[in-house]
Order: sequence, then structure tokens, then C-alpha cells
Amino acid sequence: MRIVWSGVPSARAANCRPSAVPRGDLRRSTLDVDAWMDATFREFAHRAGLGRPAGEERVRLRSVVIEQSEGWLIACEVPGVPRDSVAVEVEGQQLVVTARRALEGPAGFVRRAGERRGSVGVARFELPEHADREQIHAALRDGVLEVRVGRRTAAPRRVIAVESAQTPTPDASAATAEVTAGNVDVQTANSPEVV
Amino acid sequence: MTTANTEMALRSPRVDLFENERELLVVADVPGVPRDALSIELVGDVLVLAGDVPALGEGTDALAPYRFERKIRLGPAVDAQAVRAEHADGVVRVYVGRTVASRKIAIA
Repeated sequence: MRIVWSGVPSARAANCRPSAVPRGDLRRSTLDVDAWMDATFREFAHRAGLGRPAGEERVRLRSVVIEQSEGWLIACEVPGVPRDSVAVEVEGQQLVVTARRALEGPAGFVRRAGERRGSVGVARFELPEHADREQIHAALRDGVLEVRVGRRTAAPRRVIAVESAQTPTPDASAATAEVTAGNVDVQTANSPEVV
Repeated sequence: MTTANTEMALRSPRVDLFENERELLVVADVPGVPRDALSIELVGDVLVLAGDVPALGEGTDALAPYRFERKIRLGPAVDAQAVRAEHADGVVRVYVGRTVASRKIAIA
């Protein structure tokens, strides 16, 4: 088990932040910068309370993310939130949990002391690169929301045949190329069969 | 070493206190505590809430369990025979009867 992150959600979370250093070709770099700016301004708007209804008190949900062999388990504490008042959404690269609850007492009761905060709780998590967006399931139990995010399996290995640009002679040997991460390894085999 | 491994982390639940003329109401956030793992006691005028949160996850990937505990002094005017509790969505509500209702005193 590896606890990816525990505490208050933040774009600073390890393994979860959008790439701040563009890599690869120009188009990839542009996309990285766009994602980073989107996340930055979303965080700014969240902290500044932009678009928030008057009288609504927002808090960050106490949460934990656990990396497991089959994926990730995200648990958010949402006490007092009924099932129809919690929303789990995927926005771009983020998983967003929003929970609403009533803090008022029953009719006729007056509050004398209070520690419970937040009529609206929000948590944002950057989805890891290998998260399977089609395999996200959520369950609510005793005031804890458990969101399970599946891990996308790696693409199967491909072996690509390399054809000669010259006219092949009848007894010429075939060549195969084995593509590995970042480089190409060409092997000459006695048999033309691609393994 | 054995003792350290078996000690459970302790958390204090956040509570709100309400009242009307007949009852006090204590509302506490106890997320993750199943109903059968929740303990509610009235010791004198002190309400004791406790509950165990089971491990999160399965097998070796599980997050360690922990315990909620909170003591709330309600004052002397409580009726130990008139206590009832509700538990839903990770929140426990305890209603405690009052023996003396507050009343206004007119100045002669």
C-alpha cells in the first residue's frame, strides 16, 4: 500500500499535479501549459469563492487517497450528507467531490455551541495518468464516501516488421524490429516469421 | 513494542449543542463509525460518545482503524431517564431531557 496523499486536497499533491514542465513536441507542450493554467485558475477561483452563493460556507473535505494494486481508493468524510446530496464528477483531469448538508437544528431548537463547519464540502483530486475513467465507482457508507478508480492496463507489446527499401533477393533474410520504450531495436532472424 | 502496535489512534468528533425548553440536543460528526460500533453513555451530567472506525480498504492495503471519543458536560439539570439517540449518515444526535426548564423571573 502507498498513501499517495492524505489531508486537504491540493494541486501540490505528489503524483497528482498537472505537469508544470512542458515536455515533448510543441503541441504536447501547449496542452500541458493549458492544463496547468486551467488547474491554477480553478484553484484560485475556488479559494476566492467566485460563483459561490451568499451565506454558503464551503470547506475542504477531509480525505485520503490510497494507491492499491488494482487502482486508487479515495475516501472523503461527508458526515450528515445524504446520498442525493453528494456529487462525484470528472472535470478534465480532475475528480471533483461536492457534498451538501444542513447544519441547522430541528425546529424549535436554538444553537448554544457549535464546532461543526461547512454546509458545502468540496474535494478535488488530479487523476493519475493511468487512471481508467470508465472504471470509477462511488459508495456512501456511514458518512464516508469511497471512490474507487481503476488502473488502466498497459497497452500490449507490439512487434513491428521492418521491410527493406531495396528489392529483396529471393534468399534474403527477413528483419524484424522490436520497439521498446524510446528506442528501436532491429534484429535479423533466419526465419521470416515475426514472433 | 506490542503495546504501541495495538494502540488505536484517537480522534475527537466535532459537536454542536442545541436546546429548547425541554431538551438538550448534542449533534456529533462520527463519519465511518457503524451503528453497532457506537457507544453513548451518560455518566452523571457528562455525555460520553465513543466509536470505532474500522480499517479502510482490504488486506495489506488497508488504512489503520481509529477511535472517536468525546466527553461533553451538559450541566446538572439533565434527566438521565429521558435520553434518546439517532444515528444516520455518519452523524449521531443525542436528545437529553432537562429537569428544570428555564423561566424568566419578573422583577417586582
